Amino acid sequence: MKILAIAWNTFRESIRDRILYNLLIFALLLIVSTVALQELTVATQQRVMVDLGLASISVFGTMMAIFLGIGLVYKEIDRRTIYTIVSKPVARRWFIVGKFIGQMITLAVNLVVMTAMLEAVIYSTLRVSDFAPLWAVGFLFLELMVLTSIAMLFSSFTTPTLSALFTLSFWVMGHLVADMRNFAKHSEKAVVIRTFDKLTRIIPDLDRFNLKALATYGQKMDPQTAIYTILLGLLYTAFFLTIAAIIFGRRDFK
Amino acid sequence: MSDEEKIAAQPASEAEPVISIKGLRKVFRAGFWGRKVEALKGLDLDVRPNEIFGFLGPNGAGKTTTIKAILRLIYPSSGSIKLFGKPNNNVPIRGRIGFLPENPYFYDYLTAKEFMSFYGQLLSIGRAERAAKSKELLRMVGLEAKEDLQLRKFSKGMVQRVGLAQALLNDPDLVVLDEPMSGLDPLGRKEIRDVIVNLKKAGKTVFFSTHILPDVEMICDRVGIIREGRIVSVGTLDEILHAATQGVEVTVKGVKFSDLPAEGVANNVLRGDTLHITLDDASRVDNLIRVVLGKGGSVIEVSPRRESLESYFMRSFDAHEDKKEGAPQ
Repeated sequence: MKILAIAWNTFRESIRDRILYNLLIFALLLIVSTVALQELTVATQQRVMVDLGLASISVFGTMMAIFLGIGLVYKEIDRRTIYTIVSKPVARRWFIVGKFIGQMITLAVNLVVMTAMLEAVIYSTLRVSDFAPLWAVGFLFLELMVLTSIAMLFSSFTTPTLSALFTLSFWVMGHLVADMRNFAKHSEKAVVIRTFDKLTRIIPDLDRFNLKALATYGQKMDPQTAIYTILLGLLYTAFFLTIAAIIFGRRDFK
Repeated sequence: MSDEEKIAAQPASEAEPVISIKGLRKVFRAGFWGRKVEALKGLDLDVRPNEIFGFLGPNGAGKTTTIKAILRLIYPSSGSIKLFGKPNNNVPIRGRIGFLPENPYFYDYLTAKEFMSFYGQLLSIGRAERAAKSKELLRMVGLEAKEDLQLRKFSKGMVQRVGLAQALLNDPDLVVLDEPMSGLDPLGRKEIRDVIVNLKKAGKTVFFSTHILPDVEMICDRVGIIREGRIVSVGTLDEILHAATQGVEVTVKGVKFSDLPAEGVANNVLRGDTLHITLDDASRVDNLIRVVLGKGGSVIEVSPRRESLESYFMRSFDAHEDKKEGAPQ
């Protein structure tokens, strides 16, 4: 009940925040604007709309995950709202879990709204129902879970600016893990090989959750890979959240 | 008889302290180089059941740090803190505590009703009880009519009052208030004082820090004075101020000052036909009265002159500063 109360309060804070609406409206406008592309393309209209629509959802979903995520814990400490929470019979780790769940509800609602808009645009333009993007959005949600947990980890001990910088770095590098591995494989320098080997072990491979290309061509991930990817996403999330909870549990609220 | 009644029935000195602090030290790291700052230097303090305890000290003395350590918002560097006889790291024990921080800031997007409901959920209070308790407490702090207003539209005094209401949601046995009167007008201060006194009447223990010394004199059973991270004085106001008794004032009529013995007179003032004589020592009172009566005068009043808490506080603070300046570097 306590975790859910914190989660619900976090969700309520987001939906009463104007920044979220601005982002959402901008994302919806971008999705709707893909209609204009039907003038430019003929045979691949659907493909282009799915591709651009998913890209919009992905960019705005990521922005929401990072920019809301970095404030989740920091704002509570900075504004001292944490004082009256932690002094109640609420374990600090449950506070972290509650904040995380609240943020995921916010992101889920936003993804649902953006995806519904994409489906509506596709149907109203081409009179076809394309459910391939749903898979891609599902896995994007997993990626946002991982990103949120990373943002919360940084937010539990540093400022929002640094948290944003670190989380963005993880996001960029997370999408380049395969390239880094490839680069290390073809390098002849031991230092480069060692560095990239270590980096690719630490940084979560976020490109695994990127199903946009498959969705664009109407394909699906095979079940085995899907299960493995889901488990991996959950594991990454649990790992970063656990570290966030440990740091948050040990820190002083000055 | 409930546990609460049992504790209340015990003489204060024999009952287990509600707050027991032993050798509390807190060292912070400050600045870029992580310079060590010792905020609390081995603080010892006991707060007894059903008392109103005023925690006084100048800015930066360690009042808020002590309160934060009690509530585990910060962790001690060494020493121990027990609440109701149990270590303060016990999470469920916080269900018996109500806390109002200094200059509180709450989720300002919530209405007062939502705010109370949220805190009620954190205290595992059921929906119906939550709603009833919230209404009752908002009425008590005079905000019943504002329950649907977002906190961002509240004045500072209103935020303070709604903060007090959330601190009492769980009907706590111990209420910890950090500067509850700061920023309030005289009426607001009186309301908070009334709440504190009523809490004591209901068998609760109240521990609060403040700068407003007249409030302390009005309602506190005991006070503790903290300076530079150490308790320098603790006891009832009588105990603390007894040592600071500043002579005796004798008001007489029908005599002239020249008729009276001059030894030991610290001050004398003539107001109309009454003479107000301040003696520096109570042992001289009998002699003075004898002389007044012998000269055909009359004694109207004899009253010991007790120093106010404020002047005691200021004087002891100044003395400490002088001592520090005089100490070899």
